[in-house]
Amino acid sequence: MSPLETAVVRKSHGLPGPSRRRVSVRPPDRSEILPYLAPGVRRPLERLGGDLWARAEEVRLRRGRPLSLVTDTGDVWLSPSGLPTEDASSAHVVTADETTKTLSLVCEGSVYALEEEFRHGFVTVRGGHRVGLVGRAVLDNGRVRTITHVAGLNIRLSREVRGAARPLVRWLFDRRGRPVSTLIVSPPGCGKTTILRDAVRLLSDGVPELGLKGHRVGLVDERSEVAACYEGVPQRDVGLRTDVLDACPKAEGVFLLLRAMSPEVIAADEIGRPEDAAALNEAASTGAAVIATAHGSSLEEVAARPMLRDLVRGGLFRVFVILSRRSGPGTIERVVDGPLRGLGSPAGGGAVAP
Amino acid sequence: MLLEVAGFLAVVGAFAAAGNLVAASYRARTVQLAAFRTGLDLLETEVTFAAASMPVALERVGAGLAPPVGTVFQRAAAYLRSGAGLSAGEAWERAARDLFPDTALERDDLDVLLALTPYLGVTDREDQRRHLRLAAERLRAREEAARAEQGAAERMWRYLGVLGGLACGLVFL
Repeated sequence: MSPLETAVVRKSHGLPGPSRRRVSVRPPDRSEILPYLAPGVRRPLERLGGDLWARAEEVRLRRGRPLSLVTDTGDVWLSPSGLPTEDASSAHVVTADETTKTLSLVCEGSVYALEEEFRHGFVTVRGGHRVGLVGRAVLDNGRVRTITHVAGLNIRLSREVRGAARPLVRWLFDRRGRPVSTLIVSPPGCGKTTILRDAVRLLSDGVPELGLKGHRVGLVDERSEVAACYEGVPQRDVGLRTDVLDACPKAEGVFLLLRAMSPEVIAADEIGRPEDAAALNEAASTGAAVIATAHGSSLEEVAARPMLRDLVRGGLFRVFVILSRRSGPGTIERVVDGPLRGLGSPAGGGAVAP
Repeated sequence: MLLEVAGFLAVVGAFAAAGNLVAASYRARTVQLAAFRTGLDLLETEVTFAAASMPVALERVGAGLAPPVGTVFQRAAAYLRSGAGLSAGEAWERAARDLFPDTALERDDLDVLLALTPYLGVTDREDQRRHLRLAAERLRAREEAARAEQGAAERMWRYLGVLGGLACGLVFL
């Protein structure tokens, strides 16, 4: 048993615990994706059966290789008529022209306007879907300046799951109904962003049936994935009291929101840089609760990372949620409740397992 | 007699108008080449300094130019926004070809505009600047040649119109 799991269990305050009720999954809207695809790739996806589309998590285009769809049960190749096939030779082969044209459509004919996005290796399109890019990296002083000769695109389909964070209500609010600083940890593709979005909505709107009031939330949406803003307006429901700072670096965004919007909760996706830690500590020092996500397969792994160690051990976060894909994306694997100042020694922290 | 003089004047007038029309097309070509060059300069500014998305940049540039040149930019923006799966270059090419018959441009002028097709919007700012400047410079060269040609051609077609009208009129008299 890990040091975390040996610690004291905090007394529950009577709010609902983990459950799978009241979850409504809104599958990605196909009409949001198709306009970004070159006609040759668009056709199989237009003809794809609705069931398979509802299960799709990613669409992958690799130049000279079969068009593929990543679903919750694994990869499938797609034939030109949109039928799933295990035989790669009968699948639609993505041409160079199709990748180039898809890139152009994803960038709305404006690759030059997305230099920062290319530097990070992905572009977020309307609807909050993230398009990852691979090709030839161009370096400048040892850092990636841009990607040229793009040969592969991965369209990660964003989906809204209302109620995904509902099992976490008892941890998101304390006994007096105040927001609690929470870190959501999981490997990629386990639903961190989905859970964060729903948690932000719950904190913002409150849970009236449980007597929990809503709070002002400031969301720094650096990758435009949480609120999926289009021209500054959230396309996903992130709550009535949420102010979104779109496409802004987290550290700068946190300071800006603190100065301008007096948030009671600061929310940010995928923290991990040293400046993120400083900004979030600053937010906490103003009395705002912090809800954030971080990559990692376990809390121990996150706590061992130099950039996050201080945040995790420093007592900023009170609750740690660990996700997995064991029962599909968004499976709440474990919730650790209590400051982790003593991480690494059996004396510290508290833990609750759902 | 009065009818004959009236007919004579009508023939001369018609020929003079036809000559003026051809002369005006030379002037229009120069004006349109200059307008396209201005458009590409403005597009370069929108792309490199404002980093405006291509549909927005084309729309803004088109709004500031008289038709049919402005219409080419605006139609390219409309094609890009249509969701028909066109790249920026394809939208530009389609708009330029659509409106070519409405312009006074020559086929070689159109080729200069179409040379942008493979590059428009698909590279970084520096590369966009290079391609847009190259096209603008090529248009400037064609504009200067057109201007030199315009003076002599305009005079020739005007005289030709009037003189042709007189000759025809005299034959009919």
